[in-house]
Amino acid sequence: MKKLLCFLTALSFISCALDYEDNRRIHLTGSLLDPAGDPLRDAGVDLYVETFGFKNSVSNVIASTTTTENGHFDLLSIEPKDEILFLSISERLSSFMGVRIRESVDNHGPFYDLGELRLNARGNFQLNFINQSGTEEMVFLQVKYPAYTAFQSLPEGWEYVYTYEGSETGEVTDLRTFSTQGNNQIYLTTLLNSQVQIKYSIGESLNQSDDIQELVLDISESESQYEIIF
Amino acid sequence: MKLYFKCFILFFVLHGANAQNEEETESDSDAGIKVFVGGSKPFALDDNFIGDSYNLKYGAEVGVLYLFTDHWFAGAQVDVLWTDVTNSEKLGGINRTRIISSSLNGGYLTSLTGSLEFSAKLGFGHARYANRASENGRAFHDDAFITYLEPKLAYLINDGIGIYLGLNFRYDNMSIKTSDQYEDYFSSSTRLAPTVGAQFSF
Repeated sequence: MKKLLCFLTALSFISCALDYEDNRRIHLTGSLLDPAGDPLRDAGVDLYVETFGFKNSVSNVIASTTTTENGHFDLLSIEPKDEILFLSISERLSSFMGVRIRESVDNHGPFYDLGELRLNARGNFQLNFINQSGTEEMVFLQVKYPAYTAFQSLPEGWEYVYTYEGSETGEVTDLRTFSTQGNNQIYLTTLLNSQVQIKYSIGESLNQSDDIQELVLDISESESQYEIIF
Repeated sequence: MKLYFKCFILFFVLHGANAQNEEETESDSDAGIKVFVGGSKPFALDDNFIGDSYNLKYGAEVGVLYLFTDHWFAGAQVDVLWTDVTNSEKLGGINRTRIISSSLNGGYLTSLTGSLEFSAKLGFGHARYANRASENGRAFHDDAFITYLEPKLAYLINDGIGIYLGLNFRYDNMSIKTSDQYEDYFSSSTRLAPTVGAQFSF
């Protein structure tokens, strides 16, 4: 048993190993702009790859930088062998959400000019559920909204890495069930000037209930909140 | 270890003395084999990646040459150069490099006085830049075609042993593929290395 565990651990490490191409360097360059088109400075930019092991995957950051005053970033890296590249842009100033994109093809070029990456405006919204009826039953909620896509357009050959399950279509379906005891608040982020579809029922699930409440909210401000009273 | 080294030196001293006696009795040409072992302290001559992002520490060389006439020779040698990385980011995430070179060379050798000889050689070969990545320490390498020119002055202690001082001027043409912007930076390396060492004649 001990030997088997050792073998599996070794196998896990071997599978996660990250090798590099000989005689190669990758060079990535681009610029980050805020929704108004102004340069975004001091944003963190990480180039990484994910290697898949026996039990889990490991992210290996191979090069990091921050954007300059002009929003420009320039990354030079040794080239991982047979790996898809990921680029992560982090929210050091909290002015935008972090985003991850990856190559949609796995044939690397030595040079990637990502051009101007202009951020989309995002809308943060808060749903407040207020229980005025005094019911003790559960609330069943479904919220559909566009997945937040950080950039107005992606460079050719790259695609988003969505953090939400099932959001490859660009739409998030968020299903929640919670108790009505006390007030409940839900925080979500979507594109500014988009619509959020909400369905909820009290006591029975959405599949079984005959009393489903539906509403559509227009997200027209960067910070907004809505009250749902039942 | 010290005993082996002393025996090694003694062998060459005796061999040299023996060779000298033989020379007195028969008029012989200088044709023969020389083996040399030395060290060097290289300096980068340009601002490319080696000059800009490395501190060149020291080198070692070992080689052999065959004198096929009184003056002309052909040979082969192996060099190792140890470095310190001073700017890993500009190298793309390398934290250690050792440069191992093997080359063939040829040149001209002449005696200046009874105990001083001068030689110059031109060499071509291959260098492997053995790198380790900063992120996970994995090994990979870069390759280069090398060309060098080395004038050398040797003082012959006897016919068997000599010490030498050389000046190696070397150009490494790198095989690294990268963007146009970094192509010049990684394209080549030019360096100068004063070398000192010992040579043994057979």
